[in-house]
Amino acid sequence: MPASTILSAVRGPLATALAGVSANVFSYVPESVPVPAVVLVPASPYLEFDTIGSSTFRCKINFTISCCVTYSSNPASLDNIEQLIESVVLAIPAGYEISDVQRPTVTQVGASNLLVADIGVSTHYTRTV
Amino acid sequence: MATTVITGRDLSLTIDSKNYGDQCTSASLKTSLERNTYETIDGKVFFALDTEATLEITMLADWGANAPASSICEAMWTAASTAPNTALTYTFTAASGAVFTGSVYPSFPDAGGSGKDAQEVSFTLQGTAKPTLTIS
Repeated sequence: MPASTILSAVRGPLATALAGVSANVFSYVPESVPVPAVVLVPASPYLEFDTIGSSTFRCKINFTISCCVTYSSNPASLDNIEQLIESVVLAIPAGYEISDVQRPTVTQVGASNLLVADIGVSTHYTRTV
Repeated sequence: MATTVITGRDLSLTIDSKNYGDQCTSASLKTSLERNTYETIDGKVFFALDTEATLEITMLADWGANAPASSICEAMWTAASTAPNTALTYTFTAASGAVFTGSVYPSFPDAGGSGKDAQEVSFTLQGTAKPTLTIS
């Protein structure tokens, strides 16, 4: 049994670091999304093996941080998601590469419309045994 | 005969007893022969004079990692700064059963990077002599 997992070493701590933002934070994709919400979603490629050697499990992990707000009026929703993006980016801890933020899109989740923007982040993980 | 494929995942590198596997994204050991060319009345004659080896490394920067003794960048900087003429032993495994050993002089790692990407460090270490290849 390894001493660390991706959940315990990366996803969990990242979700904890984001806990200070004014939104519901999930280290996984929840069945329903209570907005405003910040959700860690695996990106593609999810794991990249870019260091030499194979004796230890080491990889670069790519995530998408999906920021979700209620979509009601366009100006207010855009302002809300911009403020959420700013607070999320400021809360991302050291050791994470932040690539870019995709343009907000309206996404229907269940019966409600959400305005969603994705932030690309990456970090490196080494399994400790 | 089946095609043999070895990859970067088969590599391992230690310098001065430090394992570079956690940080290193690319490592190449380059050994070259210096040859003189003589023009004789019978044509060209080549004569090998000397051998040179360099170890080229690209790695994720780890400045400030844990304690100074744990940071490869800081260890290499300290070695280059305080004992530039003292060679460091290395073991470079190309694949299981093919291990190069030798010594290299320390070099100063770069510092810096772009805002978007992880900081990377590249440096070339001068070998003291031709590496020794041990095949097992």
